[in-house]
Amino acid sequence: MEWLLIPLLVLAAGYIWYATIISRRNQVLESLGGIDVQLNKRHDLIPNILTIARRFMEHERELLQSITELRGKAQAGIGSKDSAAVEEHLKMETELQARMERFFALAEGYPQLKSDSTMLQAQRTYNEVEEHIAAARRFYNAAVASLNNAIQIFPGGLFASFAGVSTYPFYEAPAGAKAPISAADYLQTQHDDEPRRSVH
Amino acid sequence: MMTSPAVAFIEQAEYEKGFADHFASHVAPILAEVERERIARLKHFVLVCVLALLGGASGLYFISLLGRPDDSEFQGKLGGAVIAVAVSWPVLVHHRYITHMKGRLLPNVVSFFNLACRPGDCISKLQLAPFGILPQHNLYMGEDHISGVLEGVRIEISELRLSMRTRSGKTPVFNGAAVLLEVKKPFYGQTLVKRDRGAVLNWLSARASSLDRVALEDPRFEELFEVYSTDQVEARFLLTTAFMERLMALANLMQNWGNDPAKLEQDAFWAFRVRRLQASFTGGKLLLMIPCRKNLFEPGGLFRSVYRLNEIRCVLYQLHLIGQIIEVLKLDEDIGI
Repeated sequence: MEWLLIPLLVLAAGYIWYATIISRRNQVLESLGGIDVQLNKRHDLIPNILTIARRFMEHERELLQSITELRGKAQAGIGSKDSAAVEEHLKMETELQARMERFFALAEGYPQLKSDSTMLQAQRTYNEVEEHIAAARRFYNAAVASLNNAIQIFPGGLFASFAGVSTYPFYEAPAGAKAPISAADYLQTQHDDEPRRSVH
Repeated sequence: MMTSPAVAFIEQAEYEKGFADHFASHVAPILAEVERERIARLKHFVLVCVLALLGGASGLYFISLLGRPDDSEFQGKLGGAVIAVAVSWPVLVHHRYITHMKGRLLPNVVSFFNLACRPGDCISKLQLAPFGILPQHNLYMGEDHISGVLEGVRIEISELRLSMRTRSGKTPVFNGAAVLLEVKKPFYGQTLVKRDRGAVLNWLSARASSLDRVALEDPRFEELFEVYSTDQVEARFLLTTAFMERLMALANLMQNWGNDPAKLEQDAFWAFRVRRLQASFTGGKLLLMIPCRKNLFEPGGLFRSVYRLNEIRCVLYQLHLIGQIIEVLKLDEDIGI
């Protein structure tokens, strides 16, 4: 009966590896859920912020409109489980984040809006939500690293394809965030005659 | 009648700036009286020691006369009791003096930092237990409850001594400072930062804990600490990469205190063993448990003149170090942790 021992050990190891991949995949889904909770909070905040801003930023209608449209598209992607759909959704949320950063930068040029107490409160809340989103993304990246390690290290790939589990993309900062910032670009705009600044 | 020598505090370090005036107005006026009390208590202590020695020796002699050879166990126990009384009497007298002297001097010293002090009091076990980082103990003792606002942050500090009392004796499990700080970042769950105790003990600890283990990105941080939390996202919200850097910077800073060539600093405050630092974010506050080898916040002793002022410098330095915790962790800034 000793000859059964090795096949049993191999089977047991295989099962443990399979179970590990499934539990790590579930952790990735859990972390995606965590990001979605925070993104929902952001999506709920954005209409309030835009409503306050519309009273003061009449010249920025185009930007405000684009934010509203992008928010609608991004919100549809919440709850995606498929890795390709998740990647697409993360890209849209990153773009939405970039547009909001541009919005807040432009808002600096509107003194009345900047000193409005409801706007200040909304901005503080938005910043807190962004910090939570950053934390949720870090959790997601940790879970994805753990899952991808289990799949990509042989023979994890075999068990993963048997279980129908694939690797997930990491959240990466957008290209714009990685580009070096030149102070001269910002200082130049201070010499403009227009009261508001354009930030690209 | 004894005349008090003129005493002035000479500021030597940056953190002592302004203390000379405070010393002149708050501490110097009571120093003469405290020194008179010390000398009187010292004489009393010497008398107690002599009486305890004589009483103990006489007691042991009479016990040896009373007993029969087959009563040696009883004689041994009785002898032990006599020795215990003879030793504990002077210890009690010494302890009472230290408590009294601290009650006179310590509040006047810490008020320089706009802090209040109750030397005989400490942060209650009820307040600290929910933080989940108190080691297992059945004896909770503390002193030197200091509270107020330091560097713009609400703070409470206590010296704690936790022990496990068993049939075979008392084992200390924690000696050091408990520092309770206000946190400006809102959070609702619990996140524990415990020291790393090796793979096996960490694994056992994780199994026993109801909290989830949080694996963080910084390998140096992971080497020093193990993090557990009720919420993975909230733990990362609190322990940002910047905060992890600051906590490690604090660990390095405290370790370097012991390497300072100035004997005063080595002697007095290097006892913070920061590799054993533990932290807990619970109920809107941050608790730091910092083990120390020496007694903290001791502004004087029975056998040293209060005019030496060395001990007062030590207290200032200790409070300065705690202020550094707030500064290094940036708890005073509203950017959050």
